[in-house]
Amino acid sequence: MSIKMPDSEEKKRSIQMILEKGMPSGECLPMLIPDLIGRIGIGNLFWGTQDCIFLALIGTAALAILFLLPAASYMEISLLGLFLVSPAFYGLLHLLTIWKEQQSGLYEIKMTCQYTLRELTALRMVFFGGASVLMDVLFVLLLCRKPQVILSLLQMMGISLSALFLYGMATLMLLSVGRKKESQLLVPVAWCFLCVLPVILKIDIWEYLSMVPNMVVCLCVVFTAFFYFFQLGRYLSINNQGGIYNAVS
Amino acid sequence: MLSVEHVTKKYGSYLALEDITLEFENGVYGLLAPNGAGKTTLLNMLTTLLLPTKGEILWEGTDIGALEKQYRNILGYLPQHFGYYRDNTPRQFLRYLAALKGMDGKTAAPRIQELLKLVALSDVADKKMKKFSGGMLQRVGIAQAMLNDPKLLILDEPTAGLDPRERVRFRNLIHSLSQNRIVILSTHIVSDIETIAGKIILLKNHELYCCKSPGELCNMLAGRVFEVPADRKLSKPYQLLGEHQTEAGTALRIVCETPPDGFSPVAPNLEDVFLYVYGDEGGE
Repeated sequence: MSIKMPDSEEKKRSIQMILEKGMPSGECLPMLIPDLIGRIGIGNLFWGTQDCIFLALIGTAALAILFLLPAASYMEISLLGLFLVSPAFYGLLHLLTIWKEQQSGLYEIKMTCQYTLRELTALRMVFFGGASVLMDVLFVLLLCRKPQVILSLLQMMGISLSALFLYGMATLMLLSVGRKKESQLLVPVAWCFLCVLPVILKIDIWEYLSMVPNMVVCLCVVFTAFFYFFQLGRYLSINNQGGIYNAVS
Repeated sequence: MLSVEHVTKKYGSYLALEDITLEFENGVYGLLAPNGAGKTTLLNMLTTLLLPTKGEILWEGTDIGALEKQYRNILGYLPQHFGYYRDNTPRQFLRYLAALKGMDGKTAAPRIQELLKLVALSDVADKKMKKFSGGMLQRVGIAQAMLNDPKLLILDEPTAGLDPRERVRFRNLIHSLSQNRIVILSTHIVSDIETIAGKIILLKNHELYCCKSPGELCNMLAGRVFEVPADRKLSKPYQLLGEHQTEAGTALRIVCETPPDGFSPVAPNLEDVFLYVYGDEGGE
């Protein structure tokens, strides 16, 4: 039996594909993200999500009022609230925009565009993260005004930002592997449980955290931020095929 | 050229499509099958929205999964349930999707204007889409699918819910767009494609039944289709295709291997073929 050898065109195509897949990408994340944002446009990135942003703001404000502003006798709730509320804007925005995309009926069209829903979601998360960082600074400054707070400003900022990046990382990991759209609820549910666990187990976590050196706090922020962006880069590089399972559901 | 090679799709233990092999070149292909036959599943695999369980789909000899953005750049897709932002005008909506398709503003603006004229929506280009009829929305849908001048245009049941006049308009539009590109149009309405499709693909029992021109399909029943009065008792076995009103009363259209006494065969049409092939399916 004779096997037909590939012609020169087919050889060229195969070599090209091997090179593209095998060679590392020339663009690293810090260059890729601004490049994508420049091509898509910030307005188009958030097209149709104005209502989600508004609702996320309202929801975050409500959580902040509930958990961060209570009287001094509820200090432990306020500190737990910091951990809970820090990723709240990010989490709410993410869930609301995913839900809106699924409800809008544009999911399939967007997954067949050059810039897919996956890329839009990843880029939006960068902005959500940035906005959340600003909110967290505000929350920490609010809490710092309370005389009963035992943690320093730096420690509280560290906890708040680490919580945000940790939450973002967990969300991205789930987006990469989750096969059902309901799986997106796992992270917020698990997060709430994690927040109340010290209360259930009666562990005075804040006393332990107050003993953590500032350098360790800073390193924690750096590491969680690094792994968040690492996960973001991985998420951006996932092949689109099988889009229905690998985008936002 | 688009090739589908021995593609099978399973959802868990449910077999949606089995061992489909097809080749597409420039022209209009009608994917004709009843509801639940696997049309949308096949189209979802062609548009990279679903992964085949087995087999591969190739564009110019390369797997479409490997091509990624390159393949999406030549693809235009109108899904069965077309969503839109109600408070957008067609111009705003198309400008947004043009950005997602990688078109810069300078290229997109004249293209959008051209497409709005093509789909006869120029005079409502700046009106909000929440006031549009179903037919107008479908025309916005076809315009967005054509933004990047795709080499492969896939339309999933584009005429569902449209009135007869809109369906005729849509057919003429598709026919005008079919030059120099592959158009794959799925439907369960025979009249949508019988005049514009060069090839008709029939799916039956989750497999490919055939891929032939409308003439070749009708030839399958040549000499076997008859019209008999409804009150006539027939002694020979036959398959009923349908009935309609004539001047002489109700007439039955049947497929019969041997001619009923005193009757000559009539010319079969595509609807006869559809009803003959799928006559035993109850639908899913």
